Amino acid sequence: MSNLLYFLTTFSAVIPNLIYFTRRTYYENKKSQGRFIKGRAIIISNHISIIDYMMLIFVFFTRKIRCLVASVVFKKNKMLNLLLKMCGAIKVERESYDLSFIQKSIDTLNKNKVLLIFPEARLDKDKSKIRNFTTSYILLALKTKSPIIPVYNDGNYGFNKRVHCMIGEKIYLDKYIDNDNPTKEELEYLNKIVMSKIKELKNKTIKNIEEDKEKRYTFKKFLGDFGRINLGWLIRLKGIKVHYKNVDKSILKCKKPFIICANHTGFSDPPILMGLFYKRRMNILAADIIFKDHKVRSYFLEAAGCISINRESLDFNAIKQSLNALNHNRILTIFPEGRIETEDKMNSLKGGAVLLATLAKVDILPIFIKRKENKKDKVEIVIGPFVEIDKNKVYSLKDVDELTLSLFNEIKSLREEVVK
Amino acid sequence: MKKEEILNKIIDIYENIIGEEVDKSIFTLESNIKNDLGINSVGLLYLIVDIEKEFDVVLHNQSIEKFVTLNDVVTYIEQNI
Repeated sequence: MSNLLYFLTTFSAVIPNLIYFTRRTYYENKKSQGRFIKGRAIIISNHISIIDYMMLIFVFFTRKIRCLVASVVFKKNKMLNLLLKMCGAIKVERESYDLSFIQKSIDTLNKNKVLLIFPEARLDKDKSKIRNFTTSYILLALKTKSPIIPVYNDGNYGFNKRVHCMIGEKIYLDKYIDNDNPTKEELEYLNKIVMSKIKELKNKTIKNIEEDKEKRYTFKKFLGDFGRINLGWLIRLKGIKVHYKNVDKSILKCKKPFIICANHTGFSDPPILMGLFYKRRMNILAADIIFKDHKVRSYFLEAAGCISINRESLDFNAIKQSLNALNHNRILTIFPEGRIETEDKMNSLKGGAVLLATLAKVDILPIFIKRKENKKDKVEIVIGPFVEIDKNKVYSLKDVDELTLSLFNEIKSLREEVVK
Repeated sequence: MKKEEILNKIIDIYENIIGEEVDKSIFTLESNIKNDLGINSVGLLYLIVDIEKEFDVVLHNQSIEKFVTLNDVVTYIEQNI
């Protein structure tokens, strides 16, 4: 009868599951632990929302999952109370220190069933934090010799959203200690093992989400590719004079990831460079001010591959996106002067471009763009040889400063090819 | 990992970044990141990237904005490793 009630409850949640908590499930090791659970097990998960229980029921849909739920939740409303009872949730009286839930949990596990515990014991809407775990699950795992299945979820519930969930490999706590009556220190030790596993799963989930974003061919990417290819022939049609210093035309077909460092004469510089290297995907670091308060323009700038960077503060997100672009074999264009220079001079370069090159271990291609004196003039650019980065060297800040200066001198020497 | 161990590792990373050894006693948990380390914004970004790699933690602008002293950094790492 209880199984029937459980089935009816989960069946009633199918449509909300498809609409509100659509899921992307990752596995630490799918062969070792996937969505099918054999025998008894304790699922340990971080707790972000009241929906976590229902979401995990759908993740491990082949087994009935009983969850430890605080009595406060049962009292929230009658409907929730009924649903939790139908799912077989075990009430935990936090205020009265009634420990009957432990015996019920032990009985559940001894019947080879699956138990779900949220050891943070509280909801934490700050999705970035994982609170300290209470340790009752450790006693249950040791007494019943049940493996622990660690799970992390990012709580990204909502319409048009997707929650990301990662299932870790089983942890057998009895491998770490011999007895099932651990001391306080042993409890802390075992708790740390499980907590650090959940944190590890959190980091892996974040990396997997980024990888997925990279692999998906979205409409934005299509717009970017379409625009880039059209820029390619448009620029050739309009005519652009390309001078090469100590390099030849084959540099335009270079397949490795690299950073383009160029002087910044105007808003047309990025499209010119994109059109020149139209066969490769390119990301461009652009000041955040051109994104602000312009949703439509921001959309097209992002489609074109622009990465917004806040010049006033430490914009670590922009650095990560830039490193990500280089790690995925793209060209990164940076204007290291940091702003458009309207006069016929070159400003000193900021060190960020060289720093990125040393971190990503990619070479820098210096380019000089000549300012157009008349509108009818053709665009002239000079491409120089790669400034090579030693892939085996660990660069210090002094090295970065020296390299930035030599890059400045290199671009200046390219300037002398066309400006007399 | 204890706070002292994390702090020592951060100082090691700092030494690699500036390219010379420093007197570790100068840097305490109360040291201000922007004022006491004597490095510019490029250096700070370099430090943060290396911290992320070394401790295998994930950092974002939202977490970095809250870092004022080395204690804030060490506490964050302690909570996330």
